[in-house]
Amino acid sequence: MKVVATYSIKGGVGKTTTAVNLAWAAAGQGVRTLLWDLDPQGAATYYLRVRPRVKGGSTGLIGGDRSLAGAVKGSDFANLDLVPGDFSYRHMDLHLSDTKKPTRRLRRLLEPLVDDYDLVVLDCAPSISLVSENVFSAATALVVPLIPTTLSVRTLGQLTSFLEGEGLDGLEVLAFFSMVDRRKRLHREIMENLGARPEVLSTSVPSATEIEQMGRHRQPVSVFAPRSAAAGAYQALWNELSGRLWPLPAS
Amino acid sequence: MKAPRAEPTTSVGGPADGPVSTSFRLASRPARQRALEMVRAAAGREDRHQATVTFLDTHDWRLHAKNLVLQHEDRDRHEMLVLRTVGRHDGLVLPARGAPASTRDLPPGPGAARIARIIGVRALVPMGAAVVVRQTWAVRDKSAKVVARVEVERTGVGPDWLHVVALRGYESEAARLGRRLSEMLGAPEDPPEPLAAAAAAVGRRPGDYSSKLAAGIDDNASAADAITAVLAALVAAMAANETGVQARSDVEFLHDYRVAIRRMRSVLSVSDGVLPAGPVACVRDDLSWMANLTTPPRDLDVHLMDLAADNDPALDPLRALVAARCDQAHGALNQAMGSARYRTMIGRIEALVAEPTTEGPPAGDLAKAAIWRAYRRVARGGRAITESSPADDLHSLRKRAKKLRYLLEAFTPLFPAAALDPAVHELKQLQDNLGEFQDGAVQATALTALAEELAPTTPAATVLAIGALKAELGRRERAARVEFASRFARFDSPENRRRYRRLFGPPDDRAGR
Repeated sequence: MKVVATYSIKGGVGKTTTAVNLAWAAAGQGVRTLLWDLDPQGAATYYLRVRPRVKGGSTGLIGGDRSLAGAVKGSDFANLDLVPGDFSYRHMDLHLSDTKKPTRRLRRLLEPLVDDYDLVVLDCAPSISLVSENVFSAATALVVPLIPTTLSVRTLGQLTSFLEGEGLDGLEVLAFFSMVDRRKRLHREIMENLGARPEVLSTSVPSATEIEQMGRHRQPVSVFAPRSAAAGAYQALWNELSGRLWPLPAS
Repeated sequence: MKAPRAEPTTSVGGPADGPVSTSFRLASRPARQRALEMVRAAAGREDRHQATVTFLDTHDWRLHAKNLVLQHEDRDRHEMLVLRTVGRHDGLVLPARGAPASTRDLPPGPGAARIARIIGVRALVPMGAAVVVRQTWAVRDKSAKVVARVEVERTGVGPDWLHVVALRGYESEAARLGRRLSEMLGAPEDPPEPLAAAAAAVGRRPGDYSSKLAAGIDDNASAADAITAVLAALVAAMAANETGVQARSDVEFLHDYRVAIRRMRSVLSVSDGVLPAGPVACVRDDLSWMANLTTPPRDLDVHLMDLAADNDPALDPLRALVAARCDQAHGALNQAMGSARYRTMIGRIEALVAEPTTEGPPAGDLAKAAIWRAYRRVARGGRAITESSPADDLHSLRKRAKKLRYLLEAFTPLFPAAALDPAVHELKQLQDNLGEFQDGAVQATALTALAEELAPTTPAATVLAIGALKAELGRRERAARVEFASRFARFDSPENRRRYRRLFGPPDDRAGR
């Protein structure tokens, strides 16, 4: 089971739409996928039309009274399940700090599901907190959407130095350009400058109306706009990510 | 009638199996009508398609042995693969482009890796097909989220079936719908597994072939009964692999075919006084001819597989040459298999099976004597090997060990498994070592010959890569040689000697010394 997290210190960069569309693309390739919406706002949950409620809430899960398996909801799509977001997750930091080994709690919750899923996608709220430290400890890779602006790029540097400082250099950081507008010279220039870095994936996702429309359709882009550029971009992003997660065997 | 549902030995794994669906037989038209009216009122139409379902497994049913069914579905608009547990309605869905013939054709990812771990180098072959018309409806909640699905399946064989498919986390909605349908249609039932019927239509039955020899011999059998039963099983094994050998579907067809021939030779070599000497001599001649023809293609198959595992592009010219030699060797074998001599040989074997001349001693006595002789030859041969023995001595020991193994396998039903298994295990350990040594030696010799055949324009990188390969083979060979002493010491340990003596030794000896 591979665990990836869509993560950004900065909000509004397309983190949740990435989580939902990547999870959908993975499931479509026959990868048994679990999307865990850790954001108290429950946007990923909303996109998949699931009620944003987990029995027992954050206390139940973090306190150890309830299993994660009990919170899983099947999505409308084959191979794709969801652990919904819940408003009580806004206190998750507090609940975590009450536990032993507070940075390992999410990892422990995922352990019983090791044989059930090939991929877990964690969608977490922006910020660096106890929740995100849990995510860093559980994940094998962070998928970081990056708007090609100076400020956004600066946060990538902040993230990598934070991870190094915490001794988390084993955690792979895979950034990609998100909400790209090729008409903007700044976007083009930044992409050209940073595109060669090994931690930057070659696929980028355009700024597109279809992605904004996900909230109206409450579906992954490829479901209601299968031929759109955005749908193609997420598919390509998944293909690239999947090649990193499951490199082809030598023969 | 409720068919029993076997407990799965291997599930597709977690939620791919999903919550269990509930199935109802749509026995009559009015019942179907009423049920569909209810479904239409509760659920919205989602899909309707006709699917051509092709069941896939390896020739020796490796997936089915793990309680799995793999099916390729060609639907109206798209194709997919479904991997599910036997008897289950749904499972893991994988994208597909055409029915896969081997793991190479599967979409890369963890699903394919799981299938690959089970089937190994074997090809996926069609095990029958069915055409299914499916209609699905989705029950949705206030947010238009699907909370349950209903699927009606028509195969044209037997009645239609209605499945209520639950979604994880929404089981109560499916249960509620199931209860209402139950009132109308009676208790839910387990639908028949469609694989069985589809396979029967193409003359196959799940588990009908295994590379393990399974001759029906009982304790009271005469030597003639036992030998003919083994021969019958072996000639059937040859026949079961012929098409695959000729089509080169995968390398295991030839392997199994070749093993059947060698097992047959071993059994015939102990048939004196039981089967007519004249025909047996002819058949042994012919089998030796066929066995010789199977050696080069098998060696080259193995060589090609080993080379395929090495990604070095410098080896491409060598790969091409080995592939060409392999084609030639298979061509020669295929030609022999299509010859009159081959057909005559098969006819002679079938005649031997049909009419044994004498009953002979009890099967157990013949088997014990034959195995004991073969065992003593292995023990003697092994003890004579020293650090300075030539490679040929190890090679001939390997042949003796193989003969012993074939005899043990042929007469397996005559001995208690608990006693036989450790005896076979120790032999297998020894054989693995001898095989490692021999494969290294054969490939090293082949490499020298092949290197000489390569064009003078061959790049230096290729020559160097071949040199590196030879060095590696040399290391393997030497390591196996070093390991031999300890492997043989285990085989020749007092405990294993007592084991063989007790099972197969002469009667006055069996008390064990």
